[in-house]
Amino acid sequence: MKRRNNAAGHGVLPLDVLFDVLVRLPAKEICRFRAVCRPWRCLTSDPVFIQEHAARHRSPLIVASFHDDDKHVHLMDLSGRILKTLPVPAGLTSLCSRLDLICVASLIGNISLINPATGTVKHLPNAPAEHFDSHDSSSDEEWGLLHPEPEIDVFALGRVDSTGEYKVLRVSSVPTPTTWFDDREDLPCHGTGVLTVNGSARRTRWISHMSPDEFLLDLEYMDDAVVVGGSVYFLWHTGMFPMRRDEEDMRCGISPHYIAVFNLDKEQWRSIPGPRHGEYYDHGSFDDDEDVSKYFDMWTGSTLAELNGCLVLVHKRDPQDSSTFLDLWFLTDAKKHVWAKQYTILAPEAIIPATERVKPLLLLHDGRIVIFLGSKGVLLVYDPATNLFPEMDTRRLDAVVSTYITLSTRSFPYAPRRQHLDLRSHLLGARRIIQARAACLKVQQPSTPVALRRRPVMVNHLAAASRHGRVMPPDVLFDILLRLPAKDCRLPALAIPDL
Amino acid sequence: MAAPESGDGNNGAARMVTLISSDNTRFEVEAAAASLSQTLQLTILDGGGGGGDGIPLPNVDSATLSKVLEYCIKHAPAAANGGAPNATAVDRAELERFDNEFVNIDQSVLYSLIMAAHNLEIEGLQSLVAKKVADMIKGKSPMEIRRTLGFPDPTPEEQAEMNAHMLEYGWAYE
Repeated sequence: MKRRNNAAGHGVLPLDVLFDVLVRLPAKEICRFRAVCRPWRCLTSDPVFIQEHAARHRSPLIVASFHDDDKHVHLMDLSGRILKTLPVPAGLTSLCSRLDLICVASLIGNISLINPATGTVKHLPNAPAEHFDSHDSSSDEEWGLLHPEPEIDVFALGRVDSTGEYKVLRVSSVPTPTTWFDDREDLPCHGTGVLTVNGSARRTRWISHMSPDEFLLDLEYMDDAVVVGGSVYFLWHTGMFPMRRDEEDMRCGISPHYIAVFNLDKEQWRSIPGPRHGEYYDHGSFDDDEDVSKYFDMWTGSTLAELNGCLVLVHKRDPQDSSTFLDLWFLTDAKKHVWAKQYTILAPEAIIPATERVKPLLLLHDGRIVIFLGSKGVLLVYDPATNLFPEMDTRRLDAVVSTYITLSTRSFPYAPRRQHLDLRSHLLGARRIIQARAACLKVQQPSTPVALRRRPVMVNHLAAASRHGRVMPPDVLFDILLRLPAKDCRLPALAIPDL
Repeated sequence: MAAPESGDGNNGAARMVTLISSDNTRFEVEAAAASLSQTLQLTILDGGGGGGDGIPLPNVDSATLSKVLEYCIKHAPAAANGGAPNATAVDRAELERFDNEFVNIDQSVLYSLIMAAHNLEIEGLQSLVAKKVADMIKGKSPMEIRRTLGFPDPTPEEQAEMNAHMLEYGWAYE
């Protein structure tokens, strides 16, 4: 065997050194480096690598749908420069994302995913038709009071972190009238559906759900559904709710929730209270009418958004001195329903009119906030330090979402590709891995998110690594595999296909 | 059988340990510095490496080991302060300058250093060399990387795979 220990170096970097090296480089470089050789390709396609890489590099891009162009979406950087123009399938205009995939949909249930890196389009099965073209004529008037807007389907694309599944939630904006007019006293509910994008073929179809009866959602625009982590948040419909569960109820100690949450993992609905619920609600009930009206005001004047992985309630206070006040409440602890007011934005009405649909889009590292004004169709970059609102130089926008490019954008997130199995021949044997992993995990608590935690190894343990030419040194691979909790890396499918 | 006086010599002068490189050169360093290596840490805690015993490191030659120890000695005081949360800006700047200088070395030395850092599990050094290698390959084409890292020329089969990949990832080469 030819030794290559010459001065030029080697190329036999142990896998976890290589991991350390490559994870520092931007996604675009990594994609290019996949051509270098097969072990590099295997490593950089591994879900563990992709996850760790995504945690380190997440520079956001803005996906814009311009008012004068419904055939394309445009990837912009934060200065408004267009980096890439991607064609969208005809008729699909609505946007949703915050992930490494862009979801485009029509108002009537056609939906596709676009890979922002490559522009590839994946058509998803149409949502089931649950639309009722002709409402009962006697109902139209009553119905119109509640829902002046045309019926649309609102889509939300999210990722379940524990499984890596991408799921699309569809909610019909108008509650299903069949339940509205049946004999029950219940309120109508929304037809909803869930589609698992990268599940097995059996699961890649719409599973219908009904929202619980009292979950009447405020849905006018696609971005009324806000995805944070594996949950989709909505505000309850303000026209309906106070009538139903009114102030009396709130004084009697019924919890004043007004935010609906759909958990994409469990596929369940629940609700949470908005900010200041504790403040008005310390003694098991609201003390007086003023408290109640203040609390309702928090709800009726608000929209939801996502910033930095937090749900944000944007509360527009009454304007004073021709200025618009926006309070940004961050849901800092989703389990305990802890909200914290982290920003108060004071903008001249000329810049942000009181009637404007305000949607914060991105919180940048330097503290600036990119804000989308839905009615004007512009993006502002608000700087809290100077209280200035420079407008991003773009054409008029219909919709914007943020996205980012990660390594999994190489192709649609299907189950691990066949090439992963190439690793198999380098492995030492499935049984040994299982035993060793079990032993290892007992000793050492793996951290989350997955990082390669090092544990003391025998000095000689990796000595074999350098003898294996360019193929992945089995000892090193073995060493890595057994440090990873099985559920995080989906390695069982890769390493032990026989079991 | 560690000599008792060296194993428990925790009073007065800092405890020293002896490391033996693959070519049988002996290095005597403070235990605190050698303990930056996760691999050695347990042995040292168990009282190994003191007195005449020494810890043999069959994977590390003397040139590399002296380089590694240079790093350890420089970083040991900061590490002793628990990652140096209270280090002054001057100290940090000095360490940074040292680090930059430290990896500004010939590629074969760098490679030995990578393997040593990896085998000895010295976390700071590992990320330092990883960063250096990342800087080396940044912006290069796959063929340039193969050359930089001294891979053999691709076989026709590999070349075909590379070409196919370049087609698929055209955007990454723009």
